[in-house]
Amino acid sequence: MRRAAAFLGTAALCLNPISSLVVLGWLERQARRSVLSRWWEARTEPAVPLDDFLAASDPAGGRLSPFFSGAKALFNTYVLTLPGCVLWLFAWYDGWNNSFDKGYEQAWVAPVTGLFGTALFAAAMLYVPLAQARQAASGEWRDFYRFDVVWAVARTKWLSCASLAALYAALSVPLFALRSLPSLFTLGQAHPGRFLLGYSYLACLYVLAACAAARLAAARVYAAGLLELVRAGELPPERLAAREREALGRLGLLRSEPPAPRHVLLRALGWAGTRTGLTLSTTGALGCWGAFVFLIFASQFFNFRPRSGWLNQPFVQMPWFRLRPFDRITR
Amino acid sequence: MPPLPERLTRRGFLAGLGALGSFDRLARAAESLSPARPEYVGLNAVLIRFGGGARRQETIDPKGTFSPFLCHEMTKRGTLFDNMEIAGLKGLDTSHGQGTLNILTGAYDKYKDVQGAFLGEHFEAKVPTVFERLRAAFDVAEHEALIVNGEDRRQEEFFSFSSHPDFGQPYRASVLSLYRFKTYLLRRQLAAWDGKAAELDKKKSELAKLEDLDYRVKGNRGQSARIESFWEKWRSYWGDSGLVNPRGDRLLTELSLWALRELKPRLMIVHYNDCDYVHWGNASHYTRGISIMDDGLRQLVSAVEADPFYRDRTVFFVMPDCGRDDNQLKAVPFQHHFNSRSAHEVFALLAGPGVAAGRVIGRPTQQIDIAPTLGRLMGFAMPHAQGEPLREAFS
Repeated sequence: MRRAAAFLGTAALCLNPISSLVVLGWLERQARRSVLSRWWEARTEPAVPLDDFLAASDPAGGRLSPFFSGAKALFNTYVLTLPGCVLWLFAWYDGWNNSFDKGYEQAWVAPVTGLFGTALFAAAMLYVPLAQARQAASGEWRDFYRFDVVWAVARTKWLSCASLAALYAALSVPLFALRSLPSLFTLGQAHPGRFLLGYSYLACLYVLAACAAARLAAARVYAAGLLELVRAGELPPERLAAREREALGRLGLLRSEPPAPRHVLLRALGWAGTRTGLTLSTTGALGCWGAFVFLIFASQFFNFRPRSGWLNQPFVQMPWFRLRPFDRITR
Repeated sequence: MPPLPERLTRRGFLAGLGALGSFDRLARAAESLSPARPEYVGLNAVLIRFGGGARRQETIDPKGTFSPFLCHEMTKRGTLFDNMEIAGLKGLDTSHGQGTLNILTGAYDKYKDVQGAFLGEHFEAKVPTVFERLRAAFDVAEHEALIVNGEDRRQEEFFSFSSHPDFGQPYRASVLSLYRFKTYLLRRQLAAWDGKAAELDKKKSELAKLEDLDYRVKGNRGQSARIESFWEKWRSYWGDSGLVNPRGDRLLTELSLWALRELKPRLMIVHYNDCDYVHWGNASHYTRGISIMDDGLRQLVSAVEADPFYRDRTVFFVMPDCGRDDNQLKAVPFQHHFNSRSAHEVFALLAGPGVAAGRVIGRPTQQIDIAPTLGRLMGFAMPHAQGEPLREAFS
């Protein structure tokens, strides 16, 4: 009952961009606890109750810490994803302006800009979900940019990363519907602001649940991948973040257990299989992110939102969803 | 017109030109076999399809208009039916092709793509259009009944005739559009080709693809001699590239002005459409589109007043094909026209001789009333029309 009430209350925070940062901070904390729980499941040391382990490894912060944690997470995510989003905005704006004016000579500009923006975003998203999980696990904003560690995890868990991309794409289908449906409504026209507030809140219930699912899935993938690298001796403890090193040490998981040597033929086959798998999964993941972007464009056709429609994707950036009615002043 | 030979010689080129003339003569011969039709001496008519989907708020409402010439000037000269609608019948869509055919036929129909394509809009009218009725009743040449069409909606090129067995192709209208110019240009370029064979094949394939759009016309796919002559003059002025002439709805205005000067159509419809770009979210495309149409209307009215052939002998019909949504839940409430109440709300303004000036009629009327009203003013019957003439317009 308390959890349900907390969930309903947290969903309301998703209606505003500032309060959604608090939600993002909360999601960071849940991701961190998910990573720690995954490691606890794999422990080799005598059992410490999970709650005690979590309390020791993830002490509660100050009252404002969720907000600052969320702000730091958002900033880092925007560094890598905002360029693609901005290019979409300008591609759409310029493309349709050019089309209206029949500027045949510049017809290529908008599609190329849009495709380039999509490529940038998709490439960033091969990295960002795991980087977000890393930042959540370590609690340090700088660890988001440890490309060597994050990319090593991605390469180790290539199939899981492709599945993660598919999950994001699948979760974005209901979001597309939620964004687009008001185009078809005849309800709520008398009091559009009030109607849309209620509608947006109901949508936020989905957005919050889906954001949590996506972030927790990424956290599990990161936790499993990092542990695998540590155990295989491919990631020495000194390259881990301090909190990661401490938590893994408490659980006796810092010992590396290099795999038994294999026949050179088996090693070659394994290498080839991994390379093929990596290529295929990267292609698959890029395809899923392409589908994710396609749904953004499609929802803009049905229900155009000039700025937030491009510059904030709730599952990736701020978990913020709010539709607003027509404002005659801005017409 | 015979198919183009693989390797065109001068003899072959001249034979082709002769065949073109033969086609024109054959068409006239076919027409002359039907009962003699009197010469047309009645009013001329210019139909302005004002959108692309345009709402009353941004057009005829003085408080919010982006079309001041229509709203403030034309309303003084004619009769405005400000409570016209597209009937809310099951299966009727509020969109451009459907609205245009409602206007041209005077009948509602549940139009479906003739090839069953998903989201396709290749429609055919099952009852004759006003062009066919005019040409069946009077000796009006094909080039004197005109559709001026934009490049974004090629499917509307083919509203020139219906699939009614007693009418159809022999009574069709001519069409002026970039598409028609391109087919004319390609034929000319192929006829005078002296370049590489590979390029020739490419051009032929391009021409075949363009002409296959006109799927109902088999064999003779050329344009009439008068239209070809029109394009010759257009080409000598604007060139081949398509980059020099005006663009978008301004191109339609230019084509219409040229048509009035060169072809002297008795009945012409102009398919303005650019305000429909608001589908992609930019609200100013809608309002600018309306302003561009308004300016086009102003130029056409001026041209008509300056030409003795048209002055005091031409009636204007100005009406949108459909309205647009008024969805207050969206940042751009008029982004689409998804069969909402507002998308069914249209208007019609009639101005010219035989039409009462300065009247505003608020009684409910239907979009299908336009065709029989046009018929009454021009003197031909529209027995297949479901609508009724707008009697308040007659002075």
